[in-house]
Amino acid sequence: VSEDQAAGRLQRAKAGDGRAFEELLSPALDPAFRLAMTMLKDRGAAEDAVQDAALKAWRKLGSFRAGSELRPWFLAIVANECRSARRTRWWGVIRFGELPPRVAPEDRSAELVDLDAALDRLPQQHLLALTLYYHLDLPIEEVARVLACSVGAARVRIHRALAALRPGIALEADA
Amino acid sequence: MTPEERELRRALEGRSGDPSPQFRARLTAAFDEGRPASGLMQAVAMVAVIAITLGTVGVLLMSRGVRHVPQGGPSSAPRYTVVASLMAAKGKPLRACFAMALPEPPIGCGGVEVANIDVHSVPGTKTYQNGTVGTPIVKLVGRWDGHVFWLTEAPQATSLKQTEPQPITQSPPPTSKETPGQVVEELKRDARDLEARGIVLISFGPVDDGVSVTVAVADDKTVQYLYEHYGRVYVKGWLQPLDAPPSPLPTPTVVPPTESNLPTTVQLSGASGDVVWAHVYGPPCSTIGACPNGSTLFRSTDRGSHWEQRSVPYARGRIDFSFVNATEGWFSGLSQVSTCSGNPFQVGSVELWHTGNGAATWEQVPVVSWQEAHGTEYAQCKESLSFIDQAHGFLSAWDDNHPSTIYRTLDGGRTWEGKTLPDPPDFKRNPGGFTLRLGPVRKTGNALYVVASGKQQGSLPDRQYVYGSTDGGTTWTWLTKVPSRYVVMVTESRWLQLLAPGQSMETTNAGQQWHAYASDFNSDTPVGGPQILFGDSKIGYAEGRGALQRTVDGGLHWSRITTPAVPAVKSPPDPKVLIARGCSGPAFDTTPLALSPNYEIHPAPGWTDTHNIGPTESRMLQLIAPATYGDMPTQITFHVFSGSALIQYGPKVTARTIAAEWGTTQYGHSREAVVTTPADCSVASEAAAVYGYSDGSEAGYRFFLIHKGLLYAIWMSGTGGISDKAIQDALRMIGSIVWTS
Repeated sequence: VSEDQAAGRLQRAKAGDGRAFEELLSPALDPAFRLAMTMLKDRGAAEDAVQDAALKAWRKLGSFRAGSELRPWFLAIVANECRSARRTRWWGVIRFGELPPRVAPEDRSAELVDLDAALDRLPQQHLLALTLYYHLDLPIEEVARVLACSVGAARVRIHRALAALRPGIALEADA
Repeated sequence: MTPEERELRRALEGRSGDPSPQFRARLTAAFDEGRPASGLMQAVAMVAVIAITLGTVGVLLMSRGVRHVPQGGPSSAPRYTVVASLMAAKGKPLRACFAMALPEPPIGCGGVEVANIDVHSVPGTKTYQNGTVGTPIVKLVGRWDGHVFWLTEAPQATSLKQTEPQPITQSPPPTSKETPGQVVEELKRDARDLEARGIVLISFGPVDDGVSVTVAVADDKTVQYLYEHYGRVYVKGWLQPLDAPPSPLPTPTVVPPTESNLPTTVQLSGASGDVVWAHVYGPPCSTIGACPNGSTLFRSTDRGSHWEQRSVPYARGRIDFSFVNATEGWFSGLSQVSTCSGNPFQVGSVELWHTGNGAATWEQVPVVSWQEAHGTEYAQCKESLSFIDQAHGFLSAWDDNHPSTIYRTLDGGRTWEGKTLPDPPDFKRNPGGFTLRLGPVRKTGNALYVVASGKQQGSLPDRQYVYGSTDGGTTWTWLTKVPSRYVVMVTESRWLQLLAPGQSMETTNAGQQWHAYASDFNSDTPVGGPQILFGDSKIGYAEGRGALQRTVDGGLHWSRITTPAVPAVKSPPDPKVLIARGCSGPAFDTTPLALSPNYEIHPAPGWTDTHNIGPTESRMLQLIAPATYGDMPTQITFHVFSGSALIQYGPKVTARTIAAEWGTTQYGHSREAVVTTPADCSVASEAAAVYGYSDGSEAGYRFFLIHKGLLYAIWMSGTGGISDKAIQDALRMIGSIVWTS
């Protein structure tokens, strides 16, 4: 997609063209959904969060600058929606949906289960930082944009998240 | 990449997933509906109006201490009023708050979005440390455009006792087709769609014979729509009309009376001759321990006129079943590959049970390990168990990134062999959700059929195809394209699409040409399509929203038949889940955790603090039970709602009042059941009430305490239930609370 095409698409989306907005959002949709799944660990909640984020993004598209990267902007909105979803659960009827599968020993290693449980217990801001960097494989500069901080601060956040996840884990944030 | 990093990436991948084709389609549909009301546009409008107004009447308004702008919004819309506080979380729109308990500090509120007001101009407005801005209780007057409440007058101070919403009395609504619990579920599901129609739900919950719904504005159009779609709902309007024209009484649609206790879902199988089987979810099995899987199984040998309850095996995961006659059948528990994305770390197992005596007893089939038989190259979501005789059965499997597969067994389910399906000529599979999802394999005459549907990249809507096999499932061939995935084969040449009068279609040459079909079939399912099953060329059954219909003339005419169910039981039915055990207990000799300056708690051994509490949330502490309680963690969470007990429930509130309120409004228990089940008790000399709730796979307990005007809610939950030992330990922990001021 050329810059002209992208600019035209943005202009049409800002004017209310749903198809143009969908095309604009399309490259960011998969990472956004993965982010929501990782944060919320529930497909239904993730779908709600991403859809709400998409509609909010469309509403706020007027504040989006042409030439900027849409993905980190949209991921930040999705992350906010995920935080809101977790906060507001108390007021809704909490549903666990289908029973999660029991983890058979041959399916996943014990270490992986432990790590998954540790991720469950991780504060949201730590989980967000790890997801952006290690799961979505965003460059550290883009992680920083989603987290609304400097590159250095993003590294520190990832480092802290790793430390909180498992003290002594042999990972470096700037790998 | 270090082993640790690889491990972390795998763990994150295991939680993750890709959007499903259905979700993509839903999103596309949402975009097609047009951009939602723009907060920016409102802001721009407000700024413009403020600028204009400041130049004209600004001085006057400033002299009143209120920079309110009586402009903007739909000038022709009727005016409404409500007594509420205004609140805006940081970066969120300003809302008029419906009376709900709020955490301290507040994080925003539910209600309706408000425009045309500078919230800081309202006397007494407070800005909290987390950035949330809130006003005292005020009287608001404005115009309603279906989405936003545009204030036309400056808010006026008023008294606290006026905060109760004043309902608009409507004519008696028609009888509902569903139970109140089902209607509540539908309202939850439809909330966003309703909002798009300008029907903003404020609150809803079951009452004795229906559902009470409070909407932002109960105008005649709104009430009519709710009557027509949800039956017995008692509609209240939160915003009260000032100069709106009198609302004509809606004309309720006459809904045929049906069983008062319809289940949530019914799966049908085994239609042959006079026999049909029904697997029923929902009432009466929405309680712990009532049924193994939260479901019951029924068999009819007189075409659905009478039903007898049969036994079900305990199955885990996604439950499916298939009968081939009155005695022979299978139950499957399909471990869910949570993402359906073809993740190599989530193989997903298949558990299978067999009965040869009409579900009097069941025996587990020794299925060869799926991983051993099929490897871990990629996993797929398995569903739609279907047997065609004593030996031959099928499972459909799909994911977002690989070709769909039909697994076949030739030995009653012990071993399975998979065949991937080729793409039809006008369908190109692509990773990311552009794959086909398969329905169940059905045998009609001597042929086998399966309907497949999926989204094609850059194309809407979903495309649907039929694959067929004439060699018992050894090979599958793409046959034809069909108009929807709700196509049912009556014979090898005659297929039907049954949706609603005027929408039904028929083909008599196996899908080559379709024509309109004057069937009186009317689906009870507003979204998606019905489940239809033909036993032969004349007799067929359909299910939608738990109600059953039958045709005896090949699909032309349909009539309601009895939906199998057993009398509802009040929940919780099992004395083991009642909480009437006494709430006081000894403190544990461990280091106490400070919950707040006012109290502390001694955790039981093994319970760990999750540290998963945000600084602005009402939750003060969250504990995870030790693994010894089972394979899923039990959680206990402590919430504190500052001052909300009196505001929300009035000065005569008791812990029991709140427990009953939550039990009825949030979990659909009858008030009688809730009032009789909570045990009054005391926690550290404070009056408390508790109740247990359960709803299929979800179960938990809520404890309510009021201490010095504060409402404390303590919530226990565990997937699939909570062990008795966990309950005892949690009770002791609660009993260990020490009030320090």
